Amino acid sequence: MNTKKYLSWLLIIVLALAAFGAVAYAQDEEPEFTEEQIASSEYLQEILRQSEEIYDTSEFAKEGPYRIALAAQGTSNSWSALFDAHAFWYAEELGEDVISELIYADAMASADVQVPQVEDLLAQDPDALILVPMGEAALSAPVERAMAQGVPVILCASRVETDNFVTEVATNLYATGSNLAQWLVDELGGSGNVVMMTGIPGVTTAEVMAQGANAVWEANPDINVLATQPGNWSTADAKQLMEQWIAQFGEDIDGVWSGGAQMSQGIISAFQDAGLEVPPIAGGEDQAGFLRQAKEIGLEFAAWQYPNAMVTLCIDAAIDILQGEPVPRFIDFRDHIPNTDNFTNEQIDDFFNPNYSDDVHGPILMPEEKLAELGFLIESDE
Amino acid sequence: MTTQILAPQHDITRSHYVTLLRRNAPVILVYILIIILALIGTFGSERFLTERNLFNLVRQIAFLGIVALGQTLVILTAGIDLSVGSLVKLSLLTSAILVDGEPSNIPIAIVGTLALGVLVGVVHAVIITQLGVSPFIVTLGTFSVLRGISLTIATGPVGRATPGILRLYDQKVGPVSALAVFFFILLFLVAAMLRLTTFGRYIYAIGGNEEVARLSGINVARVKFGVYILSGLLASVAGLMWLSRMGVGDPNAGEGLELRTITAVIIGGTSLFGGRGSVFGTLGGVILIELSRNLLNVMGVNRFFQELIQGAIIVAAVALYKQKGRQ
Repeated sequence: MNTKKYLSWLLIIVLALAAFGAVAYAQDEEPEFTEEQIASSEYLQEILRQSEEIYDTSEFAKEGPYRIALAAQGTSNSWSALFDAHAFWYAEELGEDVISELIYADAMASADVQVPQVEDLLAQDPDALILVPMGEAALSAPVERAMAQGVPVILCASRVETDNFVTEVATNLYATGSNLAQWLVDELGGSGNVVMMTGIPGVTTAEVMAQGANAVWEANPDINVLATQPGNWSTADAKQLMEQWIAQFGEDIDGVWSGGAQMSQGIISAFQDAGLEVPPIAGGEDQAGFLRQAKEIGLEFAAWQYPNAMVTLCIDAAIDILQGEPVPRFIDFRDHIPNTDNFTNEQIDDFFNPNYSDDVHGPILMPEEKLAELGFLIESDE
Repeated sequence: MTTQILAPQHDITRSHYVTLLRRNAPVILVYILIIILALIGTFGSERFLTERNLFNLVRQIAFLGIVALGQTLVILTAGIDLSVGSLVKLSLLTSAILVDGEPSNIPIAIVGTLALGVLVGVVHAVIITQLGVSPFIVTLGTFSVLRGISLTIATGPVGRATPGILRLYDQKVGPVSALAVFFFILLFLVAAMLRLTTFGRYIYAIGGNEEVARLSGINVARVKFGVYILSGLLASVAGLMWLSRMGVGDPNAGEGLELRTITAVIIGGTSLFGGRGSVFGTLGGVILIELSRNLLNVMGVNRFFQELIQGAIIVAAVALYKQKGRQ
């Protein structure tokens, strides 16, 4: 009897510990923000507020099929090319009785191109507007005008300054930037010299990720940020900048924080050219080229994800809105698309697909035949 | 006797028209192209000839047009202004910061922004006329300097327009955008200045041959001061208009505007070597650029094709101009 009793107690203790571990793990998963962090970041305040809000969309409800306008970044790089491909594939999957027309506009990654383009799209009276804003400020007034015209706006992958839109599909970029920085701090044992390469100045994604990282540097006074400069999400610019930093700081650089995988590739290349060991990089992505390079040299890295497949969620949101269903003000793609959390070099095999060409950003929701059609699969030698 | 006199007069009149036609061939061609594109739009898409789209199109013409007016004046003197895009950006930031959502700040914001345009024009003119540096180099330098200042002020949105300024963007005068009406008034004023004033004639004279103009007693430096100040002023006016379009100061605004204005001026038949051209030609260039962009967007044509078509139009326009020059 005693043995049974002891075993029962043991089982209870094990279960309690497991529950405690699960709670602790879950808390680890959800980043916590200090009051100072929240107070210092308007973005964070807005994201946290919008995550709690639900938009009543009954005013937009109408019968289908729908004409949906998509003001996209355009075919300026492989991320946006796959974003567009996902959009067209998904609209086709849904069928013409759901989406009769996807009116597409390619902004060529320029706010100046996109502002008049949105005006042109709105002049065609679409039922909803999915917008990948190329400028937080530049697209604010056009978004407000769309809403005033009765066209619900779904922000996709980036945001605008105004709060007058229906919903946004993205992720918490502040948390993304700070998580990457925290990984680097842990990797360096809490002290060391780092350099920080950000994306294009003025673009929300770049600015907010940097804000998140800066908050971590401030909380870790033994981390010395040697330099912060934009690498413009360009491999060539990043390589040039890293070459300059290597000449300036040499082997004193213990780690690199990078705002994107394209830049991380340039960073790796600069270290290799200089004959130096590549230090840990916080700022990889689920991008085949980066993962291939990281695997080859055994790089220690932390990666974030910004799947182009999130456009499918944007289309779903547009349809929900036009059907009058309430939608959350902020939709985090990590809650809907599997395997989109941050990861490290330890999980590289879960993400790296050797059949993908270097410019594929995962995860991919389209069938592989579609990728092959678009030329994103590496042809076998057979 | 009478018939003998009339016959040569008729010939003179006819040859006058032929000369006029030949001289304005590029401009006429641009307007023919505009008519063709408008017809394609009308029959090619049911969404082109709608009130909403036409209102939108004319308003978009005003934005590019106002900066292109200043660029025309500069190019007529055989100069160039590569800084206009950066100046629009800085003017937008300045006006947004100065207004900051308060209607009572609007007068100071207007004065401050216009003063900035004048200041940039004066700097250009001083370096070009007093130090003898070529306009290309000077304005290429200020392109970077103004852009740098803008990005130092802000890499994110700053300042705020008032609701009244935002409403101005959608304001109508009859069926036409109020901003477009404002642009057309400016266009006619600049055209009148070029045609009816001594200053206007001096602009053409300097562009035709600066040395001859100087020897004829024209104060070249003073005219260039006027031209660069006007170009800066018009760019800062455009910056104020951008505030009504965007509602906030955006450090990304105005990118590439210098090339688009130069394109509009060249398409409109103004010689890059100065001395020949008109603002009505530039208007044609602006309409052609904005109409083709709008039409291709409405018809869902890929953006790369839009660039390609626009590039082809520039090459064709310049080739025609050169061909005419040889004749």
